[in-house]
Amino acid sequence: MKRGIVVIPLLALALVACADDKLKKVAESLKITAESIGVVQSTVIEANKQKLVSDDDTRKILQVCIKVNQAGQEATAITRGLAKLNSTDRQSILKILSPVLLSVSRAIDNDLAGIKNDDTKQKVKVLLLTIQSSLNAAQIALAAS
Amino acid sequence: MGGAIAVVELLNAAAPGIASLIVMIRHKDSSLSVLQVLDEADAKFSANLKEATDWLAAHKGQ
Repeated sequence: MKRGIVVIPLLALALVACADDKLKKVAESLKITAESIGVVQSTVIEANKQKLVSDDDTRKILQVCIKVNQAGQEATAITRGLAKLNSTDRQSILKILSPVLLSVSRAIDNDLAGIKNDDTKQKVKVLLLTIQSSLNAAQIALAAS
Repeated sequence: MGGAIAVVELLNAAAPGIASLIVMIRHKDSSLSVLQVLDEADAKFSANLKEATDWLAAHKGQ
């Protein structure tokens, strides 16, 4: 009986001490996404000031950025409350991130076509691809059992 | 035997406190702190949102 009593707290200790690598991966992916989307916005807004990108194209790209930022905040809020990821938490975060990944893919395929300046287009494309990769990394960490 | 039981009881009493301490150390250590990374991500998402909505508001209907 006494042995059983001590095993429970020791198990709890072991769980706390063991960093959840998947949770960390998700957090780091969200941070990379946040930083990259910030650079996308600054690049597009600056290019718009220099008349290299039209207002309409800037608006389209910023609207995609807003979606990514909002989803990022939601995913961050859910992840913040967790010590370890269980399957319900995983599904909640995946539900938020999956449509955002689609929006980013669509932006890469369609919205960038309107940018006439090749240098700006290339910069934004590389950044959107970085965002796609970091969100994919978060999805893979979440999907892994 | 009595000594072993005393050690077991001591461990039981100390375990929650030690667990809290480990959590605190993890949160203080930047290499391990998930919360710190999330705080930074959240602050950046908020700043991005402000930048984007400010631009959209300034260029509304133009």
